[in-house]
Amino acid sequence: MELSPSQKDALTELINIGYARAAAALSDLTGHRITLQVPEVAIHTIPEITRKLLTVVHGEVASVNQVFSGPITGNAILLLDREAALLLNRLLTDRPAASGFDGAAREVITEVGNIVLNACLGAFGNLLKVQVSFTVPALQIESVQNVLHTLIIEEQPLEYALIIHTCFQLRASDVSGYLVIILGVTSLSTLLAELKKWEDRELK
Amino acid sequence: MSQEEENQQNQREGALLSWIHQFAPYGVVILDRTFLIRSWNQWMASHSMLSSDDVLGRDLREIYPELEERKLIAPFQRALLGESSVLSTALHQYLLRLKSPMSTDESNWMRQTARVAPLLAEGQVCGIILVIEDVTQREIQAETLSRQHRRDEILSWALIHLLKSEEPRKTSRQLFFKIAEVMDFESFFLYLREGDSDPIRLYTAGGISDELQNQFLEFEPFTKVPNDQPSVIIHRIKNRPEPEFALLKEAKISSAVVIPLRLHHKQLGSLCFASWSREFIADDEASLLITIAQYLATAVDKENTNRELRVARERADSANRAKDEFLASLSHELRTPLNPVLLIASDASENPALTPEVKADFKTIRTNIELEARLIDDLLDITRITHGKLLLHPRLVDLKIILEEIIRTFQPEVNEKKITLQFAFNSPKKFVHGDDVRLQQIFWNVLKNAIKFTPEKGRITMAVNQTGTRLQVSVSDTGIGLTKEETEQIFEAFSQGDHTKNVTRRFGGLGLGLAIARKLVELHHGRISASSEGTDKGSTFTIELPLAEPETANLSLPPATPQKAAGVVGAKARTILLVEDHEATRVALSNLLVRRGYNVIIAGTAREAREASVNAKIDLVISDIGLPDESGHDLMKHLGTTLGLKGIALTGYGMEEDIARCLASGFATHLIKPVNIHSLETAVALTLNVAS
Repeated sequence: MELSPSQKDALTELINIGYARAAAALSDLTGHRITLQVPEVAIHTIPEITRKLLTVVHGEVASVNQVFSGPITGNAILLLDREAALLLNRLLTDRPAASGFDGAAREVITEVGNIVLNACLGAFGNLLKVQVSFTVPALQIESVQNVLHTLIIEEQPLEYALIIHTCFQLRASDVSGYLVIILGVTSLSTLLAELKKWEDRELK
Repeated sequence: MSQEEENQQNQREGALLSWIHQFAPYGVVILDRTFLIRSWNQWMASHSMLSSDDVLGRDLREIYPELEERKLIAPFQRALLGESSVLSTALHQYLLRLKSPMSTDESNWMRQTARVAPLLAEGQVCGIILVIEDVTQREIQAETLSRQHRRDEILSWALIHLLKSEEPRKTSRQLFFKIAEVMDFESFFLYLREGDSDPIRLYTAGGISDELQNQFLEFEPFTKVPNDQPSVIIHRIKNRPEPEFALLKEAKISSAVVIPLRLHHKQLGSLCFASWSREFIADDEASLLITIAQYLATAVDKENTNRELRVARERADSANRAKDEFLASLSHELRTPLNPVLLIASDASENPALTPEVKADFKTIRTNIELEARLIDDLLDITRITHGKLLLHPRLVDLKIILEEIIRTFQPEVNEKKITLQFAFNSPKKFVHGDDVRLQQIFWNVLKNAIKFTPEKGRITMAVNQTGTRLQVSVSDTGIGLTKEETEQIFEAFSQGDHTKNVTRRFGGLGLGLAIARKLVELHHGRISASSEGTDKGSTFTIELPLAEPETANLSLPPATPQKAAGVVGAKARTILLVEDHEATRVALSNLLVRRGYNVIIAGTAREAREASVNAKIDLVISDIGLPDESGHDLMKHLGTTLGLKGIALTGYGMEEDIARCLASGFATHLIKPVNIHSLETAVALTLNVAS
């Protein structure tokens, strides 16, 4: 399944609205001006997405995972590679982690992931005018292969992944990561249908 | 599920809630949709000092009004919309103001990680659950770890900086600024002792005004540390009544740490860091600075040692230079008076207008002056060789030509003593790699020696053979021979064997010739040895030099000694500008040149020479190097570039650098004083021919 250019545009715009909220929250929190950009949005099958991610993310990654349920259900994951996660922690807290991912650094990444995931899923909820509830986020530090492996073995038939390239800009640095949203085909169709309606409304 | 199972399940869930309420090691709070507190577990009660009776039914925002100021209501509002939030301690420190048993003072609240999540019933949010975890201990550990990390970083940085730096005293300022920044100090002071007996004085300081710095120059509390103490910490300076601390109060210093720089029980100085804001300095901060002070003391001591070595080396170098200069000027002074004498004697000895008796007298004078000059040369050479100052200018040299030239030079002497001199060049190869002038000197000395010690009507044989990759030159004579001891000593400087004892210096000379020959042979990677059957049985000197092969035949070089002057008939009308400040030499040279048909313009200074060059047409310049107003080099450069003149330098110095400088400044050739009339004639003729 592929997104048409207009679907891509609409989805990018929708997520940007959510990200604006997340960026404002993060700026408020840290006292630094933070922006969140969406350079690219795409839809892939699960096997495709693992292949794609392996080419752009390497080694150990920090993944923040939140399961959501309601009229659309699925799993949302923010993936940051090790360097990006440590840099983000340092930029946000002014304090380097003493030894890789110490407790404080893990929490910071979890909180940031939580804010970004909430913003994105919240934007979907608003679009669908339904309440989507999310679990408390869980952080894992593991190899990118392990994360992808978990995605594959938990794969349900007819599942798709929405992949959102996400870029944090703060204090003259760019930190880039990927937000992956796993959706069943029903949820995806619902989302795309609502997106079309929203787009039409917005254009009027 | 049966009714019974359902009951049991309900019981278990109730027990879980009750456990969480009483025993959970974290805080759990439940709010309804209007923020009213509906549940407050035991952990919350004990950490907030508020029992559940105190808080149930009250609005959380009323009990903790700062939540709103700190913009922490948003996660609660989002929870009402179904979102869960995580609040990290690094970004928020804490959610609710609770006291921690770990915290030391009032401002230090319990560090918390919190989760704010919706409570859902049948898909609808019915309340908010708040879970609070105390991470104070973890944070303190992390801070300790990070302090340790920072400490290691400073230490390794200081160590690398001080070890690498050539001048640790100067460059350490940069290091101290960094230490002050990282360790939270505002000022630093480095005190050092210049010499061993000097007092310890302020060397450098940072973070303090210049006026105040002057008052710290010899500030005792910062320089004196009791011998048994590794450091002194001065706490709470504002409460200290001692008069010596008045200056610290004036400088607004609130605490300071002083560390002596000690090495081998000797105090080299002291290092001090001061704070304007802190009342106390911890022992572990001092211990870090003690380690840095040890590095610094070692580095400063190394720098002192290096400086002493450098000074000593410079002193030795300048003494050596002075000696070289003295030798050069001594040589000049010794040679200068010989110059006119030699010129006159050599000219007169061949003057057909004089009687044979008078000519013979002049010849004796000439021979002895030449000997004198040779002695001066030898003395200079042996000194230069001993100091490793003799430089070779090696090139490919045809040894056969060199040997033939030398034999030709000695022919008159050999004829006079009626010695039979045989020369046999038996080697098919004849090239060696060497300095032609020095090679000549070697064989000149050896042959001179043979002639000197061979009686009249004796025989000298010079034979050249190839032995493997070497050329072997042997010089045998039928002279007075050598004892076994003498064959070993003869190459030592100032040794002429036992002949000197027995024969009362019959043979003259300083005994330097063979010593110089040996050194020169060694510089050419060769060997020289002497052998004899015994006294009065003649002796043989053998010289071996490594063979070299010219790459092509046309590389074979012209003879090193100048060819006998070709006819100078055409040169009779040439004009020579003679520049020489030594009057006797100038007059003698001028007379000789005039007698040989040249027009001579004389000048005693460079200025006169420049004037003369403008007024007359000049074909050749002969100039001394040491002129009173300007060097001969500069004069030659000027005449060469403005008038295109050729020149011959007269040098008394005979040092390698002077010869090279002569060629560099445009002289076509040079003559070392005292100048022999034949070499002068040859040089003039060659230069004029080349010039024309």
